[in-house]
Parts: sequence; C-alpha cells; structure tokens
Amino acid sequence: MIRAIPSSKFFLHVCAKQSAGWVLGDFCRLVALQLCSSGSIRRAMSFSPKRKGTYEEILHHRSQQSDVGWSLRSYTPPQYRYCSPRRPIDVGTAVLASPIIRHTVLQLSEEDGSSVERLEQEAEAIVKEMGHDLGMGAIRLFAFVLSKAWRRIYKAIYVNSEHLTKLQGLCKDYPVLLLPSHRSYMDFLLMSYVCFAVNLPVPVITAGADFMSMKGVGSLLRKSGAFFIRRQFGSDKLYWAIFTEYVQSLVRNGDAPVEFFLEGTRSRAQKSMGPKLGCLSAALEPYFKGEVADIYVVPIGISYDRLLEETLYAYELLGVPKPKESTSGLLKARHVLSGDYGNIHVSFNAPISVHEYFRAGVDRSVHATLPRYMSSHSVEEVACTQSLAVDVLLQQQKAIVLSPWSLVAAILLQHSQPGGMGVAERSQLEGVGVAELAEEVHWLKLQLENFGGRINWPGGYTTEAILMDTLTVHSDLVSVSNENRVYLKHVDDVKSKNAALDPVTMATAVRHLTLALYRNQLLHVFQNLGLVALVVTGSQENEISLEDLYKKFMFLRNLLCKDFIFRPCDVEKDFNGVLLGMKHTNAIVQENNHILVAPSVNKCTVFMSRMFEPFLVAYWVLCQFLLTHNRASWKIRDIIEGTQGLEAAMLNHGMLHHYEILSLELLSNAVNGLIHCGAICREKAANGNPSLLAKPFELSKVATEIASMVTVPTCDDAAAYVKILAVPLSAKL
Amino acid sequence: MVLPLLKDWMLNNFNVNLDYVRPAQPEFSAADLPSPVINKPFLEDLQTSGLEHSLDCHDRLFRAHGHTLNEIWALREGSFNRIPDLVAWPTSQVEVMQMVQLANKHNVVIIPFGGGTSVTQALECPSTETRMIISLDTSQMHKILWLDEENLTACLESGVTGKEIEQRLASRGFCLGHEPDSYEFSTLGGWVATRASGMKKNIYGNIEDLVVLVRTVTTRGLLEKSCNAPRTSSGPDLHHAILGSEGTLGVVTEVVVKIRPLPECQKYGSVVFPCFQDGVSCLREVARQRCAPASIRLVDNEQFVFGQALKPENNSLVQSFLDGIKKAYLTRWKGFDINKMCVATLVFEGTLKEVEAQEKRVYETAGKFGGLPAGEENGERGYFLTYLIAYIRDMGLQYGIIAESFETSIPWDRVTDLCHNVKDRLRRECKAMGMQHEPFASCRVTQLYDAGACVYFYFAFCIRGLSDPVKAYEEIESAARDEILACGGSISHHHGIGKIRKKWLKQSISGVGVDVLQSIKRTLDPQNIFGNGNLFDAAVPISKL
Repeated sequence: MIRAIPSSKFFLHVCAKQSAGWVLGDFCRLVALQLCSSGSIRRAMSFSPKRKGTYEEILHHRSQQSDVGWSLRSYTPPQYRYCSPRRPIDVGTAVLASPIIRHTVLQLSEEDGSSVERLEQEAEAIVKEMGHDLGMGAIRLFAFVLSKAWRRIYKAIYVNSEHLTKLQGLCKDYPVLLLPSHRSYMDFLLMSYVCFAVNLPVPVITAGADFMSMKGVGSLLRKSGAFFIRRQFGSDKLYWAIFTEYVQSLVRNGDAPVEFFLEGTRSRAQKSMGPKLGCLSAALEPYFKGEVADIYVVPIGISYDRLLEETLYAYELLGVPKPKESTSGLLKARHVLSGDYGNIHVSFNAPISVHEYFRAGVDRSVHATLPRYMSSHSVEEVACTQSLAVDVLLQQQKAIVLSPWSLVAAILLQHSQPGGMGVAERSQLEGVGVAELAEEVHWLKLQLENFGGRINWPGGYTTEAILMDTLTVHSDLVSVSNENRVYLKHVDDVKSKNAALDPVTMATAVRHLTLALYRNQLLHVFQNLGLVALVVTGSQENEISLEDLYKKFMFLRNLLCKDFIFRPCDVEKDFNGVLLGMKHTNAIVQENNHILVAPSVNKCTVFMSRMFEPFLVAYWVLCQFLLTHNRASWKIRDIIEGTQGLEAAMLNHGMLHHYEILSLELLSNAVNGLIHCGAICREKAANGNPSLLAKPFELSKVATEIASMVTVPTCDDAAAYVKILAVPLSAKL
Repeated sequence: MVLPLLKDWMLNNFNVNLDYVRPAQPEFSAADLPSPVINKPFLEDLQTSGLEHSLDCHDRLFRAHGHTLNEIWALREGSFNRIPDLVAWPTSQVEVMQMVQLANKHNVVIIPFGGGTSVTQALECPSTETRMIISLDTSQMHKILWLDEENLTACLESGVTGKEIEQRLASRGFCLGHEPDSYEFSTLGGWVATRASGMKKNIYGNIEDLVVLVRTVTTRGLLEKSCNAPRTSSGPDLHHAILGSEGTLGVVTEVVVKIRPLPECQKYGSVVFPCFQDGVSCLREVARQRCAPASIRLVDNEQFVFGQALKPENNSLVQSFLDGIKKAYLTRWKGFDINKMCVATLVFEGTLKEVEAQEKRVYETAGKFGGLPAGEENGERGYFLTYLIAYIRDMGLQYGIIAESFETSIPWDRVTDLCHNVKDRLRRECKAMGMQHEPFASCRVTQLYDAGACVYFYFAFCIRGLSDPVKAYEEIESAARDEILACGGSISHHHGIGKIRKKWLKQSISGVGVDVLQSIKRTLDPQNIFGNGNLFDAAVPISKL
C-alpha cells in the first residue's frame, strides 16, 4: 500500500463536508480534537521564533489569538483602482459576451458548419466548468480550519515582509500575478492562507482540472478562488479562446491577483522545471495590447522542511502512477495529520514590473491596426515572455529558504568511494556518528552561503542542535540510536507495480529518491559550480585552460538544460561569476588562464561533482541504451522505460550505484536534453505521430564526453552489458 | 478676477510653498540676443522693393517662439541661440509672392508666422541654420476679400485671427464656427498649416472640411485650384498636401471657406457621471447615434476637481448654500464618489427647437449611463477654463510649477485604457526622476468621431529640486507619447508634428510615406527656402553637397 496520499486534500475534504452540510461528524470530531490538544509541536518552538530577520511567523504568533476571531476579523485588502466590482459569475458572462468569443464562435461555425447555437452552448458549458466562485465565506472557513490543522503539524509558517508593503501598494495601481514555485499540493491553499493573513487580496488560481471531479471538494476549491483548466486542450480553439479570455478578463479588471504555477505541475523532483508559457502569455496580453498600464509579476518561493508527499513523489518518479484525486483517498490520508512537518517558508520576491522588463524589447504599437480581439503575439513578445518566465523561476529559486535537512540529505547521498559503499549504505548498516554528520553539515552550509543559498539556520544554536532538530522532523526516514549514530530506516511494505523493478531495487530506490528530493532543493545554488567541478575533477591533465573549461562547461549546460534552469544568454556571466567564487573560496587554483588540476581537486570540487554525477550517469546510460539498440524510430516512452530497465540491471550487477538514476523525470529530461544537443532528432512518422530518431555519432560523442568526467563502467564490461541488456529487454520487445 | 479656492488646490496638489517664487528674468536687450545674420544683396533688394520690414530685436524675438513649454521657459529663465534675422509684414498675396521670389533668389530662409500659438516648437529657428532667416508675419493680411451669401462662402486672407473672423462675419449675420482653444490669437493660415480642429467641429467640421479653396505661394509660384466647386475628383487632393504642411512648402495667403448663418440659440450644459468609464461609454453611445451637440467634452475627476478650484469668489451666502445642497444630493443621495465622478460639458447650437430636441436626446442618453444634468453654469465654466488655462500656466511657472498639454486621437475601444495608461505613465516617470510629489495628470475627451475620439492631456508638476526642469519635462512627455502609440493612439490629433514629434513621424506614416512628403518638398522647394525644419529633416539637394 502506498502511504502518502496528499493530506492537504484531507482538509479540503473535511471542509467540503462542512460546507456541503453532510456528515458533520468527522469535522466536528476533528475540531474537538484540535481544541483539546494543545499541540505536540510546541516542544521545539524555540527554533521557530516570532520574527527572524525579515520573516514573520503567521501561524502561532498573531495578535488575535483565537482562531475564530482571527478568521472572522475585518479583512480589507487593497483593491485595484480601476476594478469595477463584480460577482464571480459575472466574469463568465463577460467572457461569453466578449468580442473574442463571439468572433471565435462565428469563425468555427464557418469553418466546420456547426451551428452557432451549439457552439454557444459549448462555450457556456466550458465557462461553467472553468469558473471560480471566490467568496469570503470559504476563505474564512479555510482560515479557521487550516489554522487548527496546521498548528498540529507545523512549527511555523514564515512569510518575508520586506516586499509586502510595496506589494500592497502595487495591488492598488496595477494587476498582479502571483507566481509561486510548485512543489506540493499544499502550495495552493497555503498561498491563499498567507494572503489572507498578511492582508493581501486573496488570489484566483488556475488549477488543473483533476480536482474538479472530487466530490464536494471541487466546489469548495472554486469558492476559495480556483478556476479549472483542462490539462490538455491542444487544438480546441474554442477552449483556448475561452481560457485566455477568462484569464485576461481577470487581469484587465483586476478583480483579484491571478495566481498560477509557471511550471505547469508540481515539481515532483523538487527542483524547478522548465516554464510552460501558455498561462503567462495569456495573462500578459492585456499589457501588450495597452489594456493595462503595467502588470506586476511576483515570484514566490515556497519551501517545506518536510513534504507531505515525500514518499508518494519517490514512487511517482519511479513510475508508479499517482493515485487519482478522489474524496475517499482523502479520508485514507487522515493519518498524515499527526506528525511533525517542521517549518514552512513563503518568500515573496521583489515584484517585477512587466513594463520595465519589456520596455526595451517590445514595441506594443504593432497591435494598433488590428481589432483588439485578434490575438497575435509578436515575435519579440514571445521571446521576452520566455525570458521573463525563466527569470521568474530563477527568482523563485533564489527566494527559497532551504531546510538544514537538504544538507543532510545531500551528505547522506554522497558516496565515499567510487564503486565503494556510500554513506547511504553505511548509514543503514553501521550508521553515521552525529558529530561526524554535524561537521559535514556545517561545511556544506558554509559552501551554500558562499554561493548565495538561503538556509533556515536559527541563530544561537550549535550545528548539532539544529541537526538533531531536523533529524527529529524526519524521523520517518532516519533514526538516531542511543550511541548517537544516525541510521537510515528501511522502507518496508514495498509493492511494486512496475514490472521492470523488483521489490528490493524498488525499496533502495525509494529510499534514495526520497533523500534526493531534499538534496535537489539545493542543487540550483551549486548548478554552475557543480558543472565546473565535474570538468576539473574529471580532468586527466595537469592543468586546464580556461578556454577548454568554458567549452566543457557550455557542453554540460546545453546537455543539462532541461534538468536545471539556466539563462542561455548568461553563460559567460555565470561562468565568470562561478570561477570568481571558486577562486575566492580556494575551490580552484588558477594561474595565467589555466586551472591547476591537482590543487583544484579538493573536498569542495569532489563533493560538488559527486552531487551532480548521478545526472550524467543517467544520461550516459541512456546514450548507451540507444547506441546498442538499432531502431529506426523511437517513442519517448520506450526510450525511458528501456533505459530504466537497463539501469536497474546494471545497479543489480553492482556496475552502478546511484539508484536515483531510475527516476523517470530525470530520464525524460535526459531525452529532451539530448534533443536540445542534437543527439536525438524529432521527426514525424508516416502516420503523423511524433517520433524520435537516435543519431549514433552524436550520441557516442556525448557518451564519451560524459565518460571523461564521471566514473562509468569500463569498456571491459561491454560484453556484460549485452548480456544484461538481453534480460529485461527481450521480455519487452 | 479672484479665484479663492485655487491656492488650496495648488497647495494640496503640488505641495508648493507660496513663498518660493521664480520670477521671470528682465526683458531681453539686444545684447542678450544673437546678432542678426545679414544677407546684404537680399537686404538691398528688399529695401528697394519697399516691403515693410524690421530688424528690431524685439520684433525678431517676438517671432522666435510659440507657446511650447521650453520656449516660454527660455523667455522667463533662459536664452535663445537662434532667432529670425528680420521680420517682414507683407500686406497682400502679391507682396508675399515678391518676398518669396527675393528669398529664393538670394537663398534666404522664410518662416511664415501667424498668431504664434504653436505648441510644437514649429516656430523655433533651426539652430544649425547659417542662412539669413526671415519671419514672414501674415498679420497685415487680415481682410475679408469677399463674401458670397448665396453659396455661403467667404474668401479671407490668411492672417486674420479667429476672433476677428467671427466678429466680422457676425456683423453680417454669419459665422465660420471654427473655434480652437487658441482662436483669440491663431490665424486662418495657421489652422490650414497645422490641420487645426475646432471645438464645434460636430456642426461645422474641422479645418479640412471648412476649406473650399486654398492659395499657397511657393518658390515655384502659386498653388491653387481653378474653381470654388464643393468637391472635385482630379487626382489626389492637393489641399491635403498643404493642410498640415506646417510652413515647410510655402505661405498660405488666401482661403475660401464655408460660412454658416449665425445660430439662433446657443446654450451650455453639463452632465456629471459617477466615474470616467461611464462618461466614456456615454460619449461612445452619443457618437454611435450621431447625436452629438456642437461640442461635448468629458473631463476626468482630476480636472473636475481642478475646475471646482477655479470657481470665482462667491459673495452670496445663498449661492454657497445651494452648492452645498447640490454636492450633498450627488454624494449622499445618488451615491456619487467625489473622488471618482467626472463631468461632461456641452454646447448646443441651432434653432430653439433644435437645441431643445438635442438637449433632450443627450440628457436621455446620459441617463442610461448614470449621468445627471448639472446645469449650464458648470458647462460654461468648463469652456471658460480652456481659455484660462494658458494664463494659469504662466502663473504656475511663477511658483515653480511646470504645466503643459498634449493630445492624441484613438479608436473608441481604447479611449479609457489610454487615459489610465498615460496618466499612470506620467506619474511613473515623475517618480523615476525622483520627484517627491505626484504630478497633476489629467485628461479630457474633447472630440467625438464615428471611429474614435480625441483625448487631451494636462500635465503639471513641481520643479523644485530638479536641475533641468525642461529636459525632465521633455523626457516625460516623450515617454507619454510612446505610451500613447503603444495604446494605439496617433502621433497628434491637431497640434501637429513641429519639431518635438519628428522622431515618431516615420513610425507613424512609414518610410515610404516620409519619402512621398520628401518628394513633394523637393518639387515645391528645392532650395529649402521654407526651412523651418518641421515634420522631417528635408533631404539636402545633391548639388549642394
């Protein structure tokens, strides 16, 4: 049985019942429970003061102590100055009456002869399916229930206040887009909760249509501001038109801030994914067409000390499908309500003025000669939107406050000796001493701070105290023995639905991936550093010229472009920046445009290169898989699953050690990265379906390049490969 | 006249300190002005011809500027580095032809000068001009040459001002009906040269609708049509080459215009709306129904409040009591927000019956958009304000407040957004320049068309602490114009290009369009005698290189 079903849904469910008025029993029991228990969490409160720098705690510390009083308090958020107030249902009416929808309906009717009435009915149905129903009632109910529930499991919710005053002012003058990172189901509720708490207008939120079908929950979410977008609607012109007009209507009139997730979906691997531009470009169109003076975009980084979905994510990454969102699923996830989930940090970054951002690059007057409803983004607008999206993701990352546990996870995952037994294995068998671990954590924390990472590190405590605190939060994964040794816990009760992975492999992989999730949260800080480190530590020469280093750095950036967020135009800036940083911290030694290899292979570079090694190994296996299978065309699914099978076999034979390479998301990024590098080519098959073509020459070049930087099985093992390959694949092909 | 409320308004809006004054500098003496460039053979020929002219420095200075902010600033606190070298006052078309021939012969520049009310730096002498510059003042050509009651046309000389025209036509029972805000000073020739627009264009039309025939003296001779027929199809209308040419092609000397019998009745009116958007919707509906009265203007809340501040001193207790009731009725009873409401001012013209019918229709339409009739007095004050504003600007400068206006035209669906965006841009740019206090940014919709409207912006800010206020102003206005174009507005509705908007001409009419204008210029004025440098930089003839 898979345990972690997102518990956020549990709360929703509870609320849904309440609002729908049926079976109040559970809800009342819950509330009663809450009211009786003063909260198991308080124990470690000293780590979570009311104020930390610019961060303020909003869950446990508020002026109004009673939750009822707080959720019913007078709430008067700023409102957009040109907003003409309307009910949620009026948004739909306005959308249906808008020129773009009328135009699209007529056009479609001319194109395929369907009747205007039928299309209008269809449009009405879509709007009904989509529409939000934001009301203060639901918000206040959430404010109350979530306060109760969260106090049980969270030590603190911190919100940074430095940009809040400015943001409150901006909400009066301009439409605002809230763009949070998306790493948990919780983000959604959390954002509305935080907005309510800090007196910002509660946003309307684009949500995936998956929630819609949940009994009772769908309508409750609508009431708290969600509007639903189908996951796929590629060529449905009417749907597309209604979706864009719906978003734009909200932006134009500034009814409420519009919140959506740039990455499109939750990042299960816990590192930013490439942006999806549909929603952003729709939301920015009113600016391009001069319908609003400006739009402010607010990148928000949300981080959780412990994820509600941690194990679930690990399974999903390994290919066990996520359970469908259902109300009964919610009930089963109730047990999540107990336990310690540490802190949450919500970091608002400086709001970005779209006008200032686009000022130089975009000429809006090109829209002057067409009626406004005729949507057409100019080439410059598309390019600038793309660039803005990447910037927002980078800002989110920058804003994110990391948990000390990320450091621990990164260290536990490290292999002490290539080919030898890793700490992960050791810590399962003989454990790691707390003192040893604390020392490592302290060292990594220094590195992190040197390279611009933000970490939740309460002042006045020893590293060991902080370490112990974070180990307690993650007692599901680690245990501390009486001899002060840290042990990784077994994952038991593994039920693999993936034929390619046997239960033993699965168990190890789940444990590794769960750690990797937390490690991934800090990778963005070191992404450039890691690439340089890979080149330096892999070098066989005595020295590397900066030119060669740059070339290899470029190669890695291109290859890993889907796994990490880079600004393509900033390669040189990033390169020089990270070199400077590394020189200052003595991570590399440079002499006359050359890096001296021997002194540059040190703790820092070795640690960093090992942190990024698994990615390259996965890419390498994927190359090998494609090189050994001669097929005219591929489906992406076949490549990924085949590679995963190959990896599993190689892991079982002890040829590889990084179980996290089994992640399907990683492999999918690898395929796309190789497409980006030109080693795989996108084609259209005869039947019109997209297919992929492997290019052996380029693939082997990439594989050789990777092999020059990280340890991969040697050529002697080549014969073994074929044997191994035959096992899982013959079964499939 | 005493405006008791104005002081408070200024204090509130600009945070000015009335002790802080920037007095104008003493009048320029000859020594302060650039000495004239003299083309001797030309001067000798001119003296022989007996045409009236002057080299006096004040005559020259007076014609060196219009009413653009930087020109007024130069008069008050700055200096001029190029002014006309000689002023000539021809009294007839024949004398203009003589002048132009002389100039052409001696390669001397002519800048035609009418009422001097340009707000686009169109009268500014190009500082790089090394030839002698003559300011050709048309003020002595102010006769009504004839009046044709049967065809309702009149032939006027180009130097006659709007006020004179109306006075003289009125004495014979007619009117022209062209009333730009500057009509006290601006001249018929200037209107033609800038494509002027009059307040009452809904009845009488803009200048291009009013002219039947235009005579223009060019260096190649007289450009004119052969008859006073109301419309012809004879290739592209050459009147349109002259309309808006801004003195770059020749001197407009005589114009045959349409006239109308004086209206039996003229009446002001006004309507208050709960918010600007409602007002715009109402104007759009009026335009859709084509039932606009002679003039209809919608001013935004900022200007409405400003208008209230310009109420003259009120001695009667009864009057102020009534004002109080009116305000209470609107805000308490009707739910108007004093910080959002705005007002439309109206002028009705026609027979008594027509005016009555118009009033009814307009007020009915306004009612559909929440508009309430607000009396004649408010309307009249609105129009009065238009004339007053230029004087108030000069007073503002005294206290360190810079004010200027600019305008555009735009399709109906973008009017409200344009107003919001441009005002926002003005505030934003001021903030970016480090101004402590928000500027006064206000707009009004002044003209209705079938496909759109003309929007007029007022903009004022306090210059204390700015090192170069005029440059700051120009940068802000330039940003505002960028915003206008981005919103889908035009480069200008009636002020023209002059020199301040040259940089947007190509974007506005395309490169090919500029080439067409260049080739007209080349044909009519190969030596660039009419070298005031407006619209675009004339391509220098190859032979000169």
